[in-house]
Amino acid sequence: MRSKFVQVVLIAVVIFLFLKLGIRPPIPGSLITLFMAITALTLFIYVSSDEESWQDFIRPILATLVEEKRARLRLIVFIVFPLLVGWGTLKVMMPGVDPPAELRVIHPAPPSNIQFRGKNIKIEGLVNPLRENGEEASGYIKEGMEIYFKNCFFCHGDALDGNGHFTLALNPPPADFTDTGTIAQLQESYLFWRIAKGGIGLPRQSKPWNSAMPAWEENLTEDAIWKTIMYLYHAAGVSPRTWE
Amino acid sequence: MDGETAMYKIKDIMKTSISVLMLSGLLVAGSLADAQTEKAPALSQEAEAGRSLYNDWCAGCHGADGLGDGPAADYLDPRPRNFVDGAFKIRNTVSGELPTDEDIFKMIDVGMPGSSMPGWKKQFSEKQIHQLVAYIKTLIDMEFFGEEIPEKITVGEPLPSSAESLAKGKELYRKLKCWECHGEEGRGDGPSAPTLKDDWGNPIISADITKGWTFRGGSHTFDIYRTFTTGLDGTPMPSYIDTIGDEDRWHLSNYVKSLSPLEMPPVKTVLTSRRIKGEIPGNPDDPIWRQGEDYFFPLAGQIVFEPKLYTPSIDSILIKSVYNDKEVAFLITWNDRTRNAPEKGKDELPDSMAVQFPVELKDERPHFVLGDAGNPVNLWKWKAGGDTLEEANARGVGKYFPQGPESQGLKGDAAYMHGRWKLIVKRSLTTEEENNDIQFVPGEFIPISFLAWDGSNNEAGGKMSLSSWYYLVLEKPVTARAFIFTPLAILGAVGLEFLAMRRARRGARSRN
Repeated sequence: MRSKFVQVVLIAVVIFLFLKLGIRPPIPGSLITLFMAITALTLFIYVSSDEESWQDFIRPILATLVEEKRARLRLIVFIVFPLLVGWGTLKVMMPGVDPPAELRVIHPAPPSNIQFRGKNIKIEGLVNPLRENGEEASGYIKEGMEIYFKNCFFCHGDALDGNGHFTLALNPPPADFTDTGTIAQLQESYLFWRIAKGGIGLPRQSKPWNSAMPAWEENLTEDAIWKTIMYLYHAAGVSPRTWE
Repeated sequence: MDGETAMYKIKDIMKTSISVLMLSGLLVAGSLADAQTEKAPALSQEAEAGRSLYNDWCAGCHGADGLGDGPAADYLDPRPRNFVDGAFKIRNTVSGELPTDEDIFKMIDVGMPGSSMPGWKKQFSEKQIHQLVAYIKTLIDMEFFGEEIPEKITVGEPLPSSAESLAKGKELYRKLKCWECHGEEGRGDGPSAPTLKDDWGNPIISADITKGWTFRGGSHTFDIYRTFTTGLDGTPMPSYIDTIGDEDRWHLSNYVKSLSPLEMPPVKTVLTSRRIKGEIPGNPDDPIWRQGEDYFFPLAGQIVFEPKLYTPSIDSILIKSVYNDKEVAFLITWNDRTRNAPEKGKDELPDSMAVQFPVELKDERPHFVLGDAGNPVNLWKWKAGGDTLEEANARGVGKYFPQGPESQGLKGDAAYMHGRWKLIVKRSLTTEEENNDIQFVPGEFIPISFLAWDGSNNEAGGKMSLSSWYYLVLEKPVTARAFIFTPLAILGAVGLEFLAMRRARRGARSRN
C-alpha cells in the first residue's frame, strides 16, 4: 500500500472529494475540472521528479499489463477504462446545465482617492476620524447601531452574520462581518469606501457583479458612515487592520 | 366552558384593553416611562448580564425598553414583539398567559421563521440565552399577570396523518371558518384578511399556510397543533381549546401541515427551459405545463435605490419554462392575498410581474435593479387589469421606457384564483430588434431575474420585490455528434490499452 501509485490515486481522490463535497456552496463543475487538471499535473511532476520514484509509480501499471497472475485484473481494467472514457465523452457531448464560472475578486484593491458628495477623500492612509474622541466612542457606537438597524440589517443580519431576512434572495450573499475573512482583515478606510460607493462602485475585476450593496453616500453623511463602521467592529468584536 | 378558562378569557380581554390604554399613555409621556425604568428594582445578577446582551443585540428591533419600538421597528413586517404587554405568540401555555422560560428560550435559540427574528444559537451560549430570558421577563409589566406560574397546555396523544384525518381536518377548516382569514386554499387570501389588526391596532396579514417554512412557531405538526391550542397572543389567531376537542385539533393540524411542501423548495442557479414539440399551450393546466420542474426563487424588497420597499408582500415565485423551435414561454405562479386589477382610469395600483434580461450578453451584467446607464435591461412586464403585456427597456430606477407598438411581441394570459396568480408569457426566440431585445439561442446561459409588485401593498415603480440574477438556459437538443464521438472514444481507449500492453511486454522481455 505504500506504493507511489496507490499514494497518487488516493491523493487525487481525496482532493476530488473535497472539491465536490467539502466546499459549501458547491463550486461549478468547470472549476473542479480546472483544479483537478492542476492536481494531475502536480502529481505527475511529483512522481516523475526522479527515476526511482517514476519506476515505483509505473511498476503496478506495468505489472498489470504484463504479469500472468494479474490477468483477471487486467481484463477488468481493459473493460472499465474504455467505458469510463466513453461515459466521459458522452457527458461532454450531452447538453449540460453547468453555469459559467464566476471568478470575481471579493476584496479588490481600494482606490487611493474617492469623491464623496463632491468632496475629495484620500482613502490611502485614512483612519476613522471619530476614534480621536475616545471618550465619546460609546455614544458613537450606539448611534452606529441605530443606523445599522435602520439601513443595513435587512441584509447583513441582526447578528452581523450576513443572514438578514432579505439574504435568501441575494447572490452573492451579503458580507458576514463575523467571518474573520471580512472586516477583521480590512482597514476602516476600506469599509468607508465600500459603504460610500456600494456595489456600483466596484472596480472592473469584481465584475460581473450582482452586489445589492447600495452606494450609501446618497443617504448617509460621512460621520454617519464612520459611526456605523465603529459599531460594526465593536459588535463583531474585532479590530480594524491598521496602516503599518 | 369551565370556570377557569372563562376567567382566562376575561383576563385576556381586560389585559388587551388596559394595554392599549397604557400604550397611549406611554406615547404621550415617553419621558415618564424613562423615569419609571430608572426607579425599577435592582436586577438579579443573571438578568443584569442579560440586559447588557439585550442592549447590544435585541434593542435594535425590540427597543431599549422592550416596547417593540427599536430603530428597525418601522421597517419590519411582522413588527418586533412588544415585551412589556406580555403577549407572546409562541407558547406552551394557555391563551392569555405568559410563556414559560423554556418558551422564551426556544424563541431566542431557534428564532421565528418568516420574520426578521433569527435563531441566536450560533451567537449565544445556553447560559447567555438564559440570561436574556431572565432580563426579558423583567421587561414585562406584571400588573396584568398574577405571581402564579403560567398554566401549561395539556398535549393529547398525536394522531398520525391519514386520508381520513386529512378529510376531517379539511371539514373542520371549512366549519370553523378558517378560510375567512386564511383563504379557501390557505394562501392567506380570505375575505376578512384585509381587515385584520393586531392587539396594538397595526394591520396584520393572515398566514399563508401553503408556505410552512414561514410559520413563526415552526412547521412540525406539533407546532401547528400547539398554535391551535394556545392561539397566537397579540394577533387575531385565537385558541381553539374550547371550540374543538384534542383529536380535532390534531386532524386540523394534519390538514394544515399537508398544504405545504415538507420544506422550503431549494433555490437553484440555473432555470432550464424544456424543449417541446408542437405548440406551447396557453392554458396553465395543460399537461405540458404540469411536467417538468418548478423553479423556486425567493424575492426581497428593493432597498438599493429610492424609493425603497422594506416590507414587500410577495416573497417568492415559482416558475417553469418551455420552448419550441419558434417561441420561449414562462409560467410564473405567485401568491398574492389580494387581486388588484384596476379598470382603466381607476386610481388603484395593479398587481404586476416582470421578467428581466440583459439586452446584451457580455461579461458585465446590468445592475439587477432595472439595469444601469451603461447596461440596459429588457423587461417583459405584465400588469393586471386588462392584462397588459409590455416589452420595455430600462436603464435604472425611474428610467423605464416601454417599446413602441410596432415592437410589442409578447403573448400570454394571466388568471387569479384563491390567492394566486398564474401568468403565462411568451415571445419568439429571436426578434429583429437586437439592440433592444434579448435573443435566445439554445445552450446559451442568459441572465434572468424577476420583479413583482403587489398593488394593495402600494407597490409600483421602484417599490417592488425582486430577485438577483440567475441563469436561464434553453436545453440544447442532443446532437448526432454525441452518438458518433462516444463509440470513437471507446475504440480509441481500447486501442491505447493494447498499444500500452504491447510496449510493456516488449520492455519486460528486453529487460529479461
